[in-house]
Amino acid sequence: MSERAVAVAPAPEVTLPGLALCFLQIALSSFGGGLSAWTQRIVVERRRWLDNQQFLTAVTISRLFPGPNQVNMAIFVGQHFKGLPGALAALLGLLGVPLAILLTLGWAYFHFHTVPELRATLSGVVAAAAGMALSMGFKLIGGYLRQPAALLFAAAAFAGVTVFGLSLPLVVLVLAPLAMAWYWPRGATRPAERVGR
Amino acid sequence: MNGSASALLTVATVFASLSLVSIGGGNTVLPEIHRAAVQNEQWMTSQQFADIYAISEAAPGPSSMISSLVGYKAAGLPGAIVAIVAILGPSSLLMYVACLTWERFRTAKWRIAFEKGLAPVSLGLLFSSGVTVVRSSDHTLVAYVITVVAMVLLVRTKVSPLLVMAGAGALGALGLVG
Repeated sequence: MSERAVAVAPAPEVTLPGLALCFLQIALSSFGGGLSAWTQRIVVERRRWLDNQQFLTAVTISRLFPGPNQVNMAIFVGQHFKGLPGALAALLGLLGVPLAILLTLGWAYFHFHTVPELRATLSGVVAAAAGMALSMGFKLIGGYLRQPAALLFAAAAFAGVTVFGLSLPLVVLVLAPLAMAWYWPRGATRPAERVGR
Repeated sequence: MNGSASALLTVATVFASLSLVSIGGGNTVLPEIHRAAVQNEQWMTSQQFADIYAISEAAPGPSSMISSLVGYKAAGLPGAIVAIVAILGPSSLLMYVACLTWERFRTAKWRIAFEKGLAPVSLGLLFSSGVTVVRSSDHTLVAYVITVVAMVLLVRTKVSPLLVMAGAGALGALGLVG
C-alpha cells in the first residue's frame, strides 16, 4: 500500500491570478485568526490543489522555517505551481488587501485615539476561530483511523508539545526520522544514486 | 528629512533583525517588537501597543502584520512598508530557497518517506496548535462552549465558517463572552 499513487480528481488548472485570488480569499476569510484552517478548507477541500498529505507536510515545513506560517505556506503553494512568480502572486494576494485594511484602521486609531468597539466582538470571534482550528484536526484524522502507526505518531507529537511542553522543532527532530524509517518506500527500484542532504 | 531617513533605517534594522528568529509563527517575536517599540525606541506607549495588537488581530491577514502598524507610527506610510518588507523579506527568501530544494528531490526516497511520515506527526501538531489557540483565547465558560459548538458544527455540518464566526462575534458584541 506504500506504493499506491493517490490519483484524486484531476488537478484544476492553477494560474497566477488564481493563486493571488485564492490567498486573498484565505486572508479575507480569516477575521480573528484561523488561517491554517481556512487554507485547508480553500486549497484542499474546495480547489483540490493539494491533497491532505501534501497539505500536512506543507504546514509543518512552513512552521519549521522562520517567518509567519501563513506567509511561508503561500510561498510553498505558489512556488509549487508557478515558481517565483507564483510565490510572489500568492504573497501579494495574502498581504495586499489586508495591509491596506490594517493601515486604514491604524491611521484611524492614531488620529482619533480610540479603539473601535473591537474587543468584545473579538472575544466571541476568537473563541469560534479556536473551534475552527480544532475542527481541522478532526477532519484530517479520518484518513488515518485504520493506521495504528500513524495514530501513534500523531499522539506522540501531540503529547510532546501539549502534555510535556517540548518545543516544536525538538519534537519534529525526534519523531520525523522515526516516522521516515517507518514509511520508507520498500521494494521497487534501488535509488540510482545517493541523495545528499 | 534627515530624521525620517534615520527613522526608516531604525525601522528596517529592528524588523530585519527579527525576521529569521521568528520561528514557530510571527507571534513568537511579539515580545521583542514590544520591547523595541515601547522601551528602546519609544515609538508608542504600552497601551497603544496593546490597542494596535487588538486591531491587527481583528483585521484579516497574518497576525505578524502588527509590524506594519509599528512602522507606521514610527515613520509614517514609508515606515509601514519598510517594516513589513524587513520582517518578511529574509524569512520569505529562506523559505523560497527551501521550496526550490524540496522540488528538486521530488522523486527521492527520503522525500517520499518524509511526506508520508511527516503527515501523521503534523496531524498531532495541528491538535497541539488547536489546544494552544483555545488556551490563549478562551477565558470564560461561555467562550469554551462557543469553541466546542463551533468545532462540532464545522466538523459535522456544511455550515459556512463565516456564519459561525459572525454568530460568535454577535454574542461577543452583546457582552456575553466577557
